[in-house]
Amino acid sequence: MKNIKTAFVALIVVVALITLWIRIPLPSRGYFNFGDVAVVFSGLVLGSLARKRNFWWGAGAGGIGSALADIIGGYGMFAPITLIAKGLEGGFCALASSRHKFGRWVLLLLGGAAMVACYFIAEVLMPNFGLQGAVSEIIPNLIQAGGGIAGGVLAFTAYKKIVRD
Amino acid sequence: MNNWVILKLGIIFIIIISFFWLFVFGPFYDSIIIQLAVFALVMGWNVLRFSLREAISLLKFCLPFVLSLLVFGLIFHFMQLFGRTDWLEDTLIKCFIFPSSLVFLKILLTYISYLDILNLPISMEKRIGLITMKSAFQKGEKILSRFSWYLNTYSDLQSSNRIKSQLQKYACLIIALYLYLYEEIENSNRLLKNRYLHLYEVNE
Repeated sequence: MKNIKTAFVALIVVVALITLWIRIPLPSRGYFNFGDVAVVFSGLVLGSLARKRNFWWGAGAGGIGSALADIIGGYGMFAPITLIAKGLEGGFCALASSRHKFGRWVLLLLGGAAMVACYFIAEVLMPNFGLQGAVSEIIPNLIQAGGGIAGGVLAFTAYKKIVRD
Repeated sequence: MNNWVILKLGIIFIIIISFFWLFVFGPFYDSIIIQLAVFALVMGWNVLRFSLREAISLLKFCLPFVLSLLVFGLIFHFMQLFGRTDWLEDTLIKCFIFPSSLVFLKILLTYISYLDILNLPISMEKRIGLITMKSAFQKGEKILSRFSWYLNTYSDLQSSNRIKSQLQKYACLIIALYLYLYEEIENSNRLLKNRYLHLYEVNE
């Protein structure tokens, strides 16, 4: 489990498949997907494997995997925003991997906040969303980010135990 | 072959950019009649390209967002946010343009096949990477439902707290899928590289 290129490809597929497969409908647009859990998990795993450029490995897996899921799922319009937003989330999680306790949680929360902020700014700038659309997306995105951090950290803690044993 | 693929992809991207320039960011954005016509045309195209059921399910996907757009549009209108009085009109335009831009892009992207991407002028190493990724997708898709079924039978993951047990189950699913795909990708990569080297030696 040491080859970072193999891990990178595997995690892109994991993020895309989990985003596409596991969806819980939300009252606002679309659904809560477990893709964020996979993004946080992939960031933490790649961050622990990479010796340098942790941010870019995590950002690549989270961003490309989620954007692929948007394109395959038929929501290609969101793909460019998703690439940046989920990329930032994955990147911050990869940086969090090498930190402990307080520093780790701060970086994880920064990742979630960056994702929510990125969607908000991009949607305000896009005329087919506008301010109305962007405001209605804040709460679902916050739930998504919070759930992603909780599930991702849980998965990573269990994964580390498995790898160590 | 390469030139045809580049031409095809170029045309698709020019059509996408033109659509967004004309109807989303450009001169026809403000015209509600044109937006209504574009919406009807795109929906008709969607029915012809896929099916009526597909079009209805896509509208169902858009409906909650369109409704929340209307709610916030109304709130902003009554608040006269930023001194603007055209919030309602702007919201109605968005209610048409959001689904039509979503569907338009979805239809056009279906014209790009996996073979088109493989025929792009890229190095053999990248081509092997793309083939490996596609094979991982297919294997992962098949195994995911089996893993999910197996985890449902696992008593340790059944808890009275539904959210907690769901999170635990999906966390296990992610780990299982990652460990499985890692091994599969390593094997596929090794096989493909061996085959490529062997063919290269035979041709030499």
